[in-house]
Amino acid sequence: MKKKSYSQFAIGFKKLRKHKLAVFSFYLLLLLYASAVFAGFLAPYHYDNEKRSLSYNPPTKIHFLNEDGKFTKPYIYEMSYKFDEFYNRIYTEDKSQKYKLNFFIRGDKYSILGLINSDIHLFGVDPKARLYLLGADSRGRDLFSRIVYGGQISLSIGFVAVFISLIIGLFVGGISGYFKGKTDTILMRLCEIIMVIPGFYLMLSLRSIFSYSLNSLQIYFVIVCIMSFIGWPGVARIVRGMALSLREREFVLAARALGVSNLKIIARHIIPHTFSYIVVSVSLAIPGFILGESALSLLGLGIQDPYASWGNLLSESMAIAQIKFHPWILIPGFFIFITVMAFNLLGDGLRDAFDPKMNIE
Amino acid sequence: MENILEIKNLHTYFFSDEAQVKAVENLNLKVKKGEVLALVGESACGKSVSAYSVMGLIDSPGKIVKGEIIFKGQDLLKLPKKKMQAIRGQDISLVFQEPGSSLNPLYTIGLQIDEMIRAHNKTASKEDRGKRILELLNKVGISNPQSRIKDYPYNFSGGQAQRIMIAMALSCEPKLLIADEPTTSLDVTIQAQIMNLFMRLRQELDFTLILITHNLALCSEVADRVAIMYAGRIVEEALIEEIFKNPLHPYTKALFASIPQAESKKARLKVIKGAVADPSAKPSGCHFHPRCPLAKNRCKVNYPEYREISPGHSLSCFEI
Repeated sequence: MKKKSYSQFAIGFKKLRKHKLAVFSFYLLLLLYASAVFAGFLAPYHYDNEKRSLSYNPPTKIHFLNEDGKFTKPYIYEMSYKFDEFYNRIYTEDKSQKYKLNFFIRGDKYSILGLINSDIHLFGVDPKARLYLLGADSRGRDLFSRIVYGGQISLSIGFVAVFISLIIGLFVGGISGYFKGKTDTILMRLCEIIMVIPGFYLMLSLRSIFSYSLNSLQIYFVIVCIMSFIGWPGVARIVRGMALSLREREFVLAARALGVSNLKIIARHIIPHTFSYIVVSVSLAIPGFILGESALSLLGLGIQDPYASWGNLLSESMAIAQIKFHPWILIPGFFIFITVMAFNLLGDGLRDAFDPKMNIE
Repeated sequence: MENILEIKNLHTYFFSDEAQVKAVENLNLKVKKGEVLALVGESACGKSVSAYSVMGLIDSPGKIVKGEIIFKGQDLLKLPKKKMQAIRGQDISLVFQEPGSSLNPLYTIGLQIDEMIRAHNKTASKEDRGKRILELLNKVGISNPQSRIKDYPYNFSGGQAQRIMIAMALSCEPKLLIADEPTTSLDVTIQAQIMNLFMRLRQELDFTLILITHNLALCSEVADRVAIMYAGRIVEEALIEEIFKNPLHPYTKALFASIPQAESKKARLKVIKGAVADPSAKPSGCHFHPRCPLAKNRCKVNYPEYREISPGHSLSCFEI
């Protein structure tokens, strides 16, 4: 029986599977991305569903024991508050009425990827009470729901921006390295001009070109453009370096000698050889873009309220007093942390599996 | 017999900040249709550069400074790049020295042969191309081609990889095939197999072969004519029988003298004294004079004219 012949990528992925931490990170990220896609179903409320009377409601306690100390179906109490001497709200549970935690309950309308329209949520409580799994923000919106919705923006922006900067970087770097000479000089100087400006200032100044009052879709688009604009020269420079050495390889010469066109050689013989590097660099670059978006949104230049992104959720916690009295508003930061961490660990694993130094002799 | 390729007065130089390397100088060569011409010389004598010049593969810092390369009545050096690209692989093909690294490790060999076919025949349907790939692999003697199409280059030995390279080079049935030391990196038994393959395919497909090599024994078996190169110039050119019987140029003589002889175990192997001329600082006059036993004063001053001394036998030397 003839053994199957494996491509270099198949071999790389086999190695990757042995890297436990990377595999774990991969599944964690998969979970996060899935939750962002199915945000509407997973979140008990719409991201803009507010109840101002419950401003900064602390995380709701879910009870599993009834008064007799016996296990029962999970339930919650409604919250009521009094003001203390500094006019801070002190919330206490109103034990007069139990609200059962229901699964597959009807609530706010949502749509998943514009394909599925529904109002069934994974869990929730009777609309008379409110469930705040991770507490509420200043306007009484459920932080958990907002985090899940915020993931849609925060997680996708990194991917889209990396994707765009990758395409530009591969194209420019491939051409630059393959054709050498004047083309190379012009393109690389262009990259360097962009790279010498500190990234964050460039990001801020580029943002200032665009109007402050854009709708959220436009802002999303603007941020993606800014990020890709900052990201592509780095990719281009490294791809160019690899292309310079790849173009001297015999198989490139052979392809030229047999009449394959230059662009086809770049696309089929040069760029695919940089993929081992690309896979690694993408996984290491995405966190940078996620942090960049968070930073812009934190400064109020990114995604605007009522839309949620992890960065603008954090912007509420810029005042130290807020963190002291309502520590749960820092939770979005935790999500940024685990996402960035997971991407870095996955990137490490990918590097071990696809080490470019091992593939390019 | 008509000439399929005529190289006239070709100069290919490489430029660097410090020096100008005259890799090929005043190269004149006529290749007759259907023959096997062997281009023989030491390393770095300009054999490969000549071949790359013909293929239009000379890149900066290299440049073809002067000359004409006439193929099928047109000067290849004057053709626009697009046209030259169409000629490569279609009319003139090249087989390389290192079969292992001439195949892209990322793709299956089927895909790579397919790429060549598609590059020159954009209208062929997928089934036709598939059939053609099988036919080519069969032709070059890959056993069980159907099952090997989906294999990656690392699944093949050097000899097999060279067979695949030959299949790729012949995919469009070129008129002229240049084989740049096709057997150098292979072991001796495989060398013979590959050379036999070339000879068989030549009869089937009727192409002209320029064989670049430094292996004189190999030449004697397959070549019709031999051109000897030294330091970027052709120094002697003759039919194979003639050159083996009657080598005239001192360099050719020295080359033949340095072939190891199995019978004379005790005698020391003869070598050519001195080192190959440094292409960036070639000796004045005849480039071979520092190593030449016949060298006279005039050899140090002028380069001897290339002349025909008997029909089909040309050389450039004052002393013969």
